[in-house]
Amino acid sequence: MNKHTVSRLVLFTLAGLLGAVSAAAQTGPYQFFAVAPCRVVDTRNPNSTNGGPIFNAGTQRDFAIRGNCGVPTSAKAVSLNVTITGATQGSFLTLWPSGGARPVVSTINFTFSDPALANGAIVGLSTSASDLSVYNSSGNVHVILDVTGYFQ
Amino acid sequence: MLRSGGPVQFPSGFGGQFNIVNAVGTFTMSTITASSTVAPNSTGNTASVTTANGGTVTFSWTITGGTITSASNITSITYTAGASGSVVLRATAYKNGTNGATFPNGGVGITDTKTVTIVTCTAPAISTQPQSVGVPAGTGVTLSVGATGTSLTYQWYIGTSGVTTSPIGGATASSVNVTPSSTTTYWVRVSNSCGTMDSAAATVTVTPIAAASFYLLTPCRILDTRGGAPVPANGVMNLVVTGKCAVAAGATSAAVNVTVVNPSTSGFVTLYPGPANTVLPVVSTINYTPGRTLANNARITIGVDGSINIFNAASQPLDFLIDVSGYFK
Repeated sequence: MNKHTVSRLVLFTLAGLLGAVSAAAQTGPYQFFAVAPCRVVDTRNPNSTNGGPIFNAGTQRDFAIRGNCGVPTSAKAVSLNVTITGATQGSFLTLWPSGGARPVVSTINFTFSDPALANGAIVGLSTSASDLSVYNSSGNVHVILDVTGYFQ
Repeated sequence: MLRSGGPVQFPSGFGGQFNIVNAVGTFTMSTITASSTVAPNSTGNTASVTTANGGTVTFSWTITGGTITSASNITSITYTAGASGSVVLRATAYKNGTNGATFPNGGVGITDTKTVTIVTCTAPAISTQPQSVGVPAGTGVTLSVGATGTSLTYQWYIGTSGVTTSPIGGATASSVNVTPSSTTTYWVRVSNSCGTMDSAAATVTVTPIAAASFYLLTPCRILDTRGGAPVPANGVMNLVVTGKCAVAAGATSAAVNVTVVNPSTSGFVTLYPGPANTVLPVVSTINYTPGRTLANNARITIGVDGSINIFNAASQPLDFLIDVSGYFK
């Protein structure tokens, strides 16, 4: 492979990436508001909007972030730490603003041997009462969401 | 139920005969219930036993190092302590007559003795005043007072020191956790049987959550515990972050990557705003397992004092890295 071929490949790949990115809508700019760290969702708790039950395979749940943990109803996105525990299979979670089609992205990937695993994320919020959707691909898993700030 | 009678021996003792109507079985008597310490020459100290079962007994109290002053019934007395040393209380019940009670193990009586130490009362004195502190809105903080004196009790109040109109319910220890929604002043009254002392007031200044813009930094390692002091087991490390890695004073949050290095056990880490006496929130920032070096991306809220706290929930110390990529201000 000569130098020119490599350059062309790189350009080709970049063009493909840019094409994919440009398909996503953009809003903003927003400013960040740091809040006292706060657990907003814990599916290990008794069944409620932001509590249990545990996620099953292929299930989606919608949680209420705005109005909790100091996040105002005007917030457009939230800074989260996503933690999973008690996974029965390797799987992934997708987080996205509720109401829209589930995007083909993953927020955290894990295996059943992980006692608990976390990843940071910034996720948009819809204006619905339950403004954040979470999808679990396989097996059962508990999901915990801790808020550290929001954007608006 | 109880009928007093027989010899009454004030001031050194008190007693009488009593009869439990229709009682059956073996007579029993508890050990003496009384405070284990009393102040010199203090009055109104109480002692009691409880009894059950068993016919007629002759019951008596004796006391040394003090004086029995009254009895609400035979088995409860009030006494005045002596000036120093100790008070020895003894309660005795024994078989009365041929129809008397039966006692455990075929005995003829029960006795119990309790020694109460006479402790010279030292009035409260405050050695460490509660400290004023600034916190971001929604963040809890622990206020503490250091005090000396005998058998101290505490009550925390909201408001000006000495004004007791707003006591905090249940706040009766040397420290209290508070999460005011707006700037609030607190103080504590320290009391014992020989006096009270009021602390100075401490103000918890609440900084409202403010809009912040993002400032990008050259990636920079702001903490690396390897070769130094690790984050302690089940403990907290306080770290000032402003002024390091070009994080500006007044920053409200930092964009970081945190890494646990080859943990020897499993656990999790919670990053939360300083100062050191901020109440630990029930959240987690990264979970880890033995032997697995692992990273997580986070935005961590910085305290008004420019510091963060790193709590390691594990039975072993942890090597920990924090790499900062930007901050919000």
